[in-house]
Amino acid sequence: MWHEVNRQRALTAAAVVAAVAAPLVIVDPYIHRLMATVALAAVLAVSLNLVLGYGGLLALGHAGFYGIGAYTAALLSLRLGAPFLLTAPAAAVGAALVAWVVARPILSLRGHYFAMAMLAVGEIVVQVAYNWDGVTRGASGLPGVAPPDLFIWTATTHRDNYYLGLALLGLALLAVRRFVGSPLGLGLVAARDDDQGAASVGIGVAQTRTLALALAAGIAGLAGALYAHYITFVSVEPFQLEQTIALLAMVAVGGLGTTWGPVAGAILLTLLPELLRGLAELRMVVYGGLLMLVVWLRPQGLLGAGGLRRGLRVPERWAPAPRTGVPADPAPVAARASTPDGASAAASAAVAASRVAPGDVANRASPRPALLTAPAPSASADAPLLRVEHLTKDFAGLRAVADVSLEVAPGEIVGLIGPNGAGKSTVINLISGAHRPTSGRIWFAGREITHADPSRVARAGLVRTFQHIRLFPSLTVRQNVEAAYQVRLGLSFGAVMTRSRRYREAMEQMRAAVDEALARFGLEGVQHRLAGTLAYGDQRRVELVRALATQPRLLLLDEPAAGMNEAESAELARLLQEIRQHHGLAILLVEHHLDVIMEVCERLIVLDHGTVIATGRPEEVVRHPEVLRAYLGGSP
Amino acid sequence: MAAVTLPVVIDQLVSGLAIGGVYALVALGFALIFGVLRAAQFAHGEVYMVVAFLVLGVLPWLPWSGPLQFLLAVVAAAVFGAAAGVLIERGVFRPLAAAPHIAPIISTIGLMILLQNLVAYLKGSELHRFALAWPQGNVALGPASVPALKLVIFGTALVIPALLQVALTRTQLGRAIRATAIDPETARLMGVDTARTSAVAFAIGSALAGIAGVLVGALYGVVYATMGVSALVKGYTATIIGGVGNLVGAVVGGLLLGVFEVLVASYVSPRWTDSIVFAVLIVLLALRPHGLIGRAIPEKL
Amino acid sequence: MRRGRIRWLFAVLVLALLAAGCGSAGGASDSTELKIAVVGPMTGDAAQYGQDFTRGAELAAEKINAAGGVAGKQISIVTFDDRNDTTEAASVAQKIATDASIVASMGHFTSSTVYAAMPIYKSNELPLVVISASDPKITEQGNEWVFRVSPTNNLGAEAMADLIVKQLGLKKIAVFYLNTDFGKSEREYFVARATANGGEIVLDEAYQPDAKDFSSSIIKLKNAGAEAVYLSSYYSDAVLLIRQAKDAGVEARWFASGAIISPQFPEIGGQAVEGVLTSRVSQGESWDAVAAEYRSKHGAEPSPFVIYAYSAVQAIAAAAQDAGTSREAIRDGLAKIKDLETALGPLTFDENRQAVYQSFDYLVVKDGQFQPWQP
Repeated sequence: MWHEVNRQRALTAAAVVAAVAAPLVIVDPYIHRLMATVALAAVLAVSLNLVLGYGGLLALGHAGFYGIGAYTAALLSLRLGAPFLLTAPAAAVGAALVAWVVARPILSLRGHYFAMAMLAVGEIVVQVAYNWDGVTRGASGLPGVAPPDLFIWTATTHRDNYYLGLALLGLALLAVRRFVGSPLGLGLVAARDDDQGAASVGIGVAQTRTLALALAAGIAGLAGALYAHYITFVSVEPFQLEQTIALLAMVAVGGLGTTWGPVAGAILLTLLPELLRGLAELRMVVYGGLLMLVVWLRPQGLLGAGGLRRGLRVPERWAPAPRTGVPADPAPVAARASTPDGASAAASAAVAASRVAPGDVANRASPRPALLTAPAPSASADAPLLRVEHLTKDFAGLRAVADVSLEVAPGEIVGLIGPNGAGKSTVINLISGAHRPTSGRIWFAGREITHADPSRVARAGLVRTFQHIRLFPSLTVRQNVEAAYQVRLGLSFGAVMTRSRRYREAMEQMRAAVDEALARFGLEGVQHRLAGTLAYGDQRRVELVRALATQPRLLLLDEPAAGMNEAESAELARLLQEIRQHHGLAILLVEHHLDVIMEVCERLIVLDHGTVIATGRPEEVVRHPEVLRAYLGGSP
Repeated sequence: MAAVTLPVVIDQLVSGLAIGGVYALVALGFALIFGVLRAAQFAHGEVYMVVAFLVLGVLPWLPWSGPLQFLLAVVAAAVFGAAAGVLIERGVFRPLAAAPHIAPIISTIGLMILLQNLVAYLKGSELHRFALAWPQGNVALGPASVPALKLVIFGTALVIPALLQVALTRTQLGRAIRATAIDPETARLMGVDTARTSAVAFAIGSALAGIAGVLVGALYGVVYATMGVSALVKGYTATIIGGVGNLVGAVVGGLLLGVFEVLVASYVSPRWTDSIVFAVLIVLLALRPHGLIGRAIPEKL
Repeated sequence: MRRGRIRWLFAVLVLALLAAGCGSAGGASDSTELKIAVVGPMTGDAAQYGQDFTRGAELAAEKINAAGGVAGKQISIVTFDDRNDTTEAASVAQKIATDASIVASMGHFTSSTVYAAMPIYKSNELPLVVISASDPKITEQGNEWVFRVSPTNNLGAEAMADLIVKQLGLKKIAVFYLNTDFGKSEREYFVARATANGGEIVLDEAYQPDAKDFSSSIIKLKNAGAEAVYLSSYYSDAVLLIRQAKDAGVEARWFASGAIISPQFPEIGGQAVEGVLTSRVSQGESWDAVAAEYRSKHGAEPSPFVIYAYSAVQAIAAAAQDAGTSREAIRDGLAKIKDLETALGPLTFDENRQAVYQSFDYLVVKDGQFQPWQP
């Protein structure tokens, strides 16, 4: 592994040296001009890759942000005589701000709706620039922008501008890498893999995507500033849909969600039409054909991962143990070694360790990472943790849930059962915020959550799992857990980008906590495998660890034993009891396996046709005539 | 600003519905292909353009009179379009069936660039006269007098989706297409030959694009190599307005887009039409994230 | 399998490179040649204008070469494609400037592309002759390497305004203009002159460059009561606008900018564009014979862009003849040109290196041809 890393570093270093030295060796200014064009295209492709590759968002308006940057810089230069060193940051901030503002209504859209909305944003930028004659000189454009002035040095030649482009590219690569390699990046990729799954563990999908979009727009804005000062003239042509499409092709041809793919794509697709110049009118015909050919030969992109369907793998920042790690806390290790039931003992040690008073924690050199800590008990222990009142949900005139009221007390395990189509999953969806109720109200820990969105519900401590497992398939087992864990770290964008001390501490904390959790559930052996490649039972366990990583107070488990054999479901029942025992959290369990229900539940709620028909202790409920009728069908 | 009188408004509506009808056919084809293949066909506009040129080529051989010529041109467009669709489905989409979602998008972008420049190379990038002899002149519609051609185009854009709707609901193949559009996996399990249905859907969708190309050629009397680009953008927009994969929505979206464009151009300014259309689209999507008619496909969570 | 595919890819790319190399290895440097670059949109939307540039330039080169060339050298025309894109224009300009065998460049279709390329011509000290871009500010940038043979928009537009209001006495005028730098500035000059002449602008409507459906504008026109309609347009927009307006029953006389002059205009417009009046810079006496040759060669009437390209080559040749064949000599020679007999008539550059124009001819579409107009 280290060998591989060193090889990659050597390659990167060689590429950097070549990129810096090439224009010194080759003196043809036309080649310098091409290199500068490539560098600009690469900056744009790298920024688009953040949104498209890692975020999975078809951002069809990316060139619009490039344009905002270029116009901002050009206007500041022409109107105020501002030098490049001032216009460039302004351009970046301007583009990022616009992205931030437009992202609000757009980012909740999915797939092609998002693509269309972004296309609309890009088109509006171009149309406004084209028609706002008084400011942008409309179709006539803005000539006479000053060349890039860095106070001590002014870029006048193509070579100078190429070096500026190269510096920008380095900056863009670094920024994207920092973002993607951080917990925020994990959240971004998790949301791309499965946005509902991501929301279910509390990841702020829209917030994360907004950050990514704003960062990408900011980088594109910087590129726009360089374009404006370099070409010295700005008009709308380079910022139109065609440019976005060209960038899209660069990212895809190079390899979505890879570090160097967009750079490779930018080099290839910028140089290709130049190389084909000799073909005169046929050159764009050949270019189109070659584009198709490249996709046909390597659908995942030149540098895309070979076997992986989605063509992406996020580098594991914490895969190899860092050589200078924090000293391991000896307590749980000792406990694990000395008890027969190592796993649960370690967990209880962790719980015990984490229940130290806050003051004590602050005094410790390295605060105990606390993945599986129970949260502080709510003020009044007797009050129900979850209270649902008169919940009703209609789907297109069909009443799926009718006037359901229920409560779950802290630390209680409640089973929600009923025949197929009784509305169990709908109730879970309503409580977790995935669906909006038609009427009725929901309170959790004393706060109303009736209309809260899923990620807020999850952050409040109410976390669900899914009937069909929704892991993040392109993340490893470890990253799946980290993606959920990082939510509570509440890392700021600034901390992530600067790798501040607080950030590094949080990372250490996360690493240790996740190590421990994986070990306790027997997943350390598979922690570096992609989650989608695990056996079914392991996937269930990963899902459970992931849910626990959010530190929930109530778990909603939707048929966790579905598809399990008897031994596996028995193991699951044991696991659930253990979790409850050590964390004091409550569980609302939807399940068909009656043996699991009977074994772990203290109370059952029976649904039929969307209404509660019985509630009580398991052994009573199963004898209830209504329940028998619902399950056995027919007349009593 | 135009005066708001009844003849003026009728005039505007008819113009909007005629161009909207063309958008609707493009959008319908796009939506049909998207529904069955779950892939965006970005060369859809190029099918529209190439078919228009092909029909221009055979126009001299069509009987030069009356509605028959118009009908034959439409039929020829459907045939050429269907053939082009099958070729694209076989040549571009099928080999990439297992590839990442972005692959067919990039590949069709390549095809778009290729076809557009190939036609420009072979035929020149200037406008080419495209003249159908029927229908000509104006007809009275209430107090207004409007070009008969626009009414015929609007009518065609209503009749064809209606026929398609019947075919999709009444025939075995049509039901198979709809089943595939709703859930390809289940359809396959139920014994639907999804490879065949997607080829057929592609053929029909492309035939619709071809018909739209001929209608727009007739409407403006010209065809040209880059006409596909705006058709794609308008068709895509109309699809989104209606709701992705929703066939009725695509038609409604196309007609609405056409009428809205004419009204904004009339009462605001043609210069700001695109900006306003796109701004309204964003607001619409913020309010209705699945288009006007589309609804979120209820997913089992 | 996968490895095999990658090899495949490389094989194809190498082939493509070879093809490209063969294509561009065409003209080696030769001291018996005077190489002039013609740059414009050779592919894409506006490719036909690039073609006009090439045809005009090549025809001029042929004529001059047949007459013995320039300073003992034969003129050779090399074409470059900027796809009408600013980024491309800057790249191509650098490519041209880097080729030491090229002594002058001409073209870039729009003002945007000229602006993007201008600084590169300046820093590489290569003269550029603009042959279509019409923003008056191009020649006001103080760039001593940039000349323009085509007129700025004011002259033709003012000639048309005089014709409509003064000569024909039509007072109520509707104006449609293409929303580009060309259309906007042409319209501005037209409106100013027409109102100064006592005309009244009853409708003043812009349309977008990609517009094909003019229904909303035509409905306004129908209700505007215009006697005359003036179009600041290219042929492609003008022909559609006029046809759609006639189909909608608009009754008015039609006038248009000289930029519509193109064989496609009467061909596509047919009966609808009969009687449309336009203007063109008066051509020199030598032009008629050249135009006849152009017609027999290409089967079409030369557009103004053919004429500008033709004249640009004549100007460059004259400069080289007088001042020498280096880039700098040609620049100096161009600056000194005065009353040079070209296809456009006598050519003189003013102190901003802008060609000076005096007279315009009126043309009318008659029997599917642009013909001189007699009142």
